Amino acid sequence: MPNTLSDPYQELAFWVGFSALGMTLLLILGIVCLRLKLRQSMRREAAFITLWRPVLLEAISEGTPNMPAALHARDELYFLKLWNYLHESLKGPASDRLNALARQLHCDKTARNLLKKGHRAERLLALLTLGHLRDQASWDELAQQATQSDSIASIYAARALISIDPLRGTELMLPLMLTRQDWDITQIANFLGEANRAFWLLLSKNILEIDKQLWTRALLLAEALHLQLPLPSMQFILIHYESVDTLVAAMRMASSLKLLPAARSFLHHPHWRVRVEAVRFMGQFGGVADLPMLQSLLQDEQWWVRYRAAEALADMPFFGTGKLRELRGQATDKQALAMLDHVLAEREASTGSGGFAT
Amino acid sequence: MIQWATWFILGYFILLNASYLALNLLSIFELRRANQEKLLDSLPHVFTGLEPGISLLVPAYNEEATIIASVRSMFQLTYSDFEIVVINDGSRDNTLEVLKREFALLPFPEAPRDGLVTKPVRGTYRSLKYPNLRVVDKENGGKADSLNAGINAARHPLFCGVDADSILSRDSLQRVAKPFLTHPDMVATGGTVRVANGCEVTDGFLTKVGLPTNIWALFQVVEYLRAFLFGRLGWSKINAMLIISGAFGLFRTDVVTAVGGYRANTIGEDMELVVRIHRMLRQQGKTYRIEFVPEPVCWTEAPEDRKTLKNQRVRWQRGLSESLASNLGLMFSRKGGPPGWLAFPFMLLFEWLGPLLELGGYLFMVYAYAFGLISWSAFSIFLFMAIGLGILLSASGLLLEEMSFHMYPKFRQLAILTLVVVLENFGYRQLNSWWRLVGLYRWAMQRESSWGEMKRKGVGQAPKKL
Repeated sequence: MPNTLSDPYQELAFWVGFSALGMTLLLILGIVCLRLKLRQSMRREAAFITLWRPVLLEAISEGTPNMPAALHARDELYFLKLWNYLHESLKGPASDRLNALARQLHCDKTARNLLKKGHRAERLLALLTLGHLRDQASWDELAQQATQSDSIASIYAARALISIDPLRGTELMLPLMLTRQDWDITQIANFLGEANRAFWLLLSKNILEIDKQLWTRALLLAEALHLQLPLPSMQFILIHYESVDTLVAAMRMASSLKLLPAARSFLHHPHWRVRVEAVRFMGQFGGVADLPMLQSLLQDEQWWVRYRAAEALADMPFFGTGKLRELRGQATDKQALAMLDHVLAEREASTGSGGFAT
Repeated sequence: MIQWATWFILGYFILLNASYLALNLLSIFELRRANQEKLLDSLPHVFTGLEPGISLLVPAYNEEATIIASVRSMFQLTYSDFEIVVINDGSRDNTLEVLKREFALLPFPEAPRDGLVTKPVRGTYRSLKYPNLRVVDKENGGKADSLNAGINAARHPLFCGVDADSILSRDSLQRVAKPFLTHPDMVATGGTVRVANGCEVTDGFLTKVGLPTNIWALFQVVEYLRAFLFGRLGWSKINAMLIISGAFGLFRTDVVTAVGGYRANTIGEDMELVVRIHRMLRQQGKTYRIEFVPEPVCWTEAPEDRKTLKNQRVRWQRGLSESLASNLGLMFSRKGGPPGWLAFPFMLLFEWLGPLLELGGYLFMVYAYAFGLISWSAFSIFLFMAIGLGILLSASGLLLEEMSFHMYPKFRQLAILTLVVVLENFGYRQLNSWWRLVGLYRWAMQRESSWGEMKRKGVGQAPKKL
C-alpha cells in the first residue's frame, strides 16, 4: 500500500494522541485523588462538628461550656468556620461569650497567623474571625489588607476594621467605601448597620467636601441605612450635582417640605428618572398649586413618569382616588386615560374591592 | 494535495483542542478563586434593598402541564425584589386557563408601553393573591417575541428570561445578580445550566442530584459540564462570552431595549441577543461587562431519545448560524476587542464550521485509506489523536466539576461519568457533528423557525425521579 504521508505527520499525530491519553490518565488520577481528599476532609469536619457544635452552642447560651479535649492544630480551620458561621447571626453578650471561648482556644493568634501567612481562603477566614473578635492587635494589618486590589479580601478587611472600632474604622474606610466601585454596595450597607451612627456623623460632616462624583454612592448608602442628611447639604447637592445619578439619588432621599421649590424645578428635567423622583416627591409634599403640573405629566412621553404622576395625585390627601376618578371622566388624552385606568384599578385592588376595575 | 489536506486536518484538530484547553486553563483559574470564596457564600445573607429589582420573564407555549409548578417554585426564590411575568404566547392548550384558576388572575387594564414591537397583546392579568405575578396574553409569535412582550411589561431594571420548564436553585437570582453589584457596567450575566434527568425534584426544586440511566441523557451530562464549566467560564474571564443560555440569563432591561430586544424571526434568540449586545456596545465605544456565574443555578430536562435530541441540536446549530451571520460586523472590527478578535472567529471556525470540518476530516481519512492514499498506520494514528484529544477535553470538564462543585458525590457516579467521558467519543460526538451539519444545511436553506417541540416527562409537579 503506498503511503503518501511522510513520517513527521504521523509522528506529530501520534505524540499528540499519546500526550492526550497520558494527560487524560493523569486527570482521572487527579480527580480520584481530589475525591478521596474531599471525602476524608468532609468526614473529619463532620466528626468535628458533632463534637464541637454543642460546645459552641453552650458557650452562646451560658458561657461556661464543657470543653472537650484541646483543639488540635489540624482542626483549627474547622473550628473557625463553624465559629464564624454561628457568629454571623449573633450580637451582644452571646457574641462576647463566643469571643471569649475563641480567645481561650488561642484562635486570635491562629487568625493573625493565617492573615499573614495563609493562602487566600485562609486569609478570608482570618479576616472574618478578626472582625468578629474585634481584635485591636490586628488593626494595622487589616488596614493594609483593606487597600489591596482583591475586592473580596479588602471589603472583608474594611468590615473587620469597622467591627473593631466603628467610628475610627468608618473614618478610615469612608474614602474607600465611596471610591471602590468593586465593593458590593449592599455588603457595605450591611456591615455599616453596626456603625450606622458613626457613618451618619461622618457623612453629614463631610458630604459637601468629598468629590462630587462620589455623592451618588454616599447617598445610596445613606438611603439604604435610612439616614437623613442635613437639609443644607441636601439643598447644596440639589444645586451643585454633576450627574443625573446623583440627582436621582438625592431626590429619592429628599423628605422635607423645604425642598419643594427644587423638586418643582425638576418636574421638567430632560431625564425621565429625575422627573419620576420629582413627581414622587410632589405626591408627598406637593400642594394644590402643583395639581395642574402633575396632571400635565399624565401625558409625559415616559410610562414611568405618567404612572408616578397618577400615583402622586392619588396619594395627595386633598385629591385622592375619588378626584382621580373624576379626572379620568374628563381626560381626553389616550395615554393619560390608560394610565388613570391602570392606577385606579391598582388602588381598588389594594383596598380589597375584590377585583380590578376594567 | 493529499499531503496538504492531511496537514490541514491535523492542524485543525490540534488547534481546536488547544483552544479548548486554553479556555480550560482560564476556567481553572476562575474556579479556584471562586472556591476560595465558598466559605463566605455559606454565611447567612441579609438583603438591604439596594439590590436591583428583577423581572422574571417566563414565556409559555402549550405549557399547561408544567406552568403551575414552575410559577409556584419561582415564588420561593430568595431575592429582595422580584416579579414574575408569564407570557402566554397564544397557547393552543389551557395554559392561560390553568394560570387564571390557580392564581386567581383577573384582567387588568395595564397601560400600554412604547417599547419593542411584538405581536398584539390580547390582555394582561394580575393575581389577587400574588401581587408580584402578572400574565401577559398575546398572539402567537414565538419565544423571542414573547420575551420582547415580557420586556415591555417588565417593571424592574433587570430581567431574567427563564424557560417554563427550568428548575431554579432557590438562590439563583441572588447569585446571578451579584456581579451587577460589583460592576456598575455589567449588562448581562448567565449561570450554569445542568441536566436535571436523574435528579429528584420536589415542589419545583431540586432536592437530590443524581445521574440519569438513559444513555443519551448521560452523554449530555458530560457535554453540559464541558460547555458551561470551561466553554463559558473561560470566555467570561476575558469578557468575550457570546452565549447566555435562554434557560436562565439576567440582562439589563434598558440595554436590551436599546439594542432592539430579541430578534423575533430567529431560533437562537438567546445567543443572537448577546452577540448583538457585544457588537452594538463595542461600536458605540461603551464599557460593559458580560459575566458568567459558574455555580449551578438552573437545571433543565435533557432529551432522552435520539429524535428529540437531533431536533434540538439541529435547532441549536441553526441558532448559532443565525447569530453569527447577523452580527458578522463584530468580527475583526476595529473596536471588536476579545469578542470580535477571539470569541467570534473561534465560534465561526470551530463551532459553526466545526461539524463540516470535523466530519470532513473523518470522511477524508476514511476515503484516503479506502483508496490506498494513506496507510493503515496513518489512518489509525489520526483516529487515535482525534479521539484522544476528545477524551482529554471531556475529562478536563469532569476535573473542573470535581474541583469546584462535586455535585455527584458517590464514587459510583464518578465512575459512570468517567466511563461516559470515554464512550461519548466513540460515536456520540460524531453523531452530534452530523446533526449540527444538518442544522447548518437547514440554516443555509432558510427554513422557517418556530418553538422547539420537546418530548417531556415533566418536572417539578411532585417528588419524582426524572
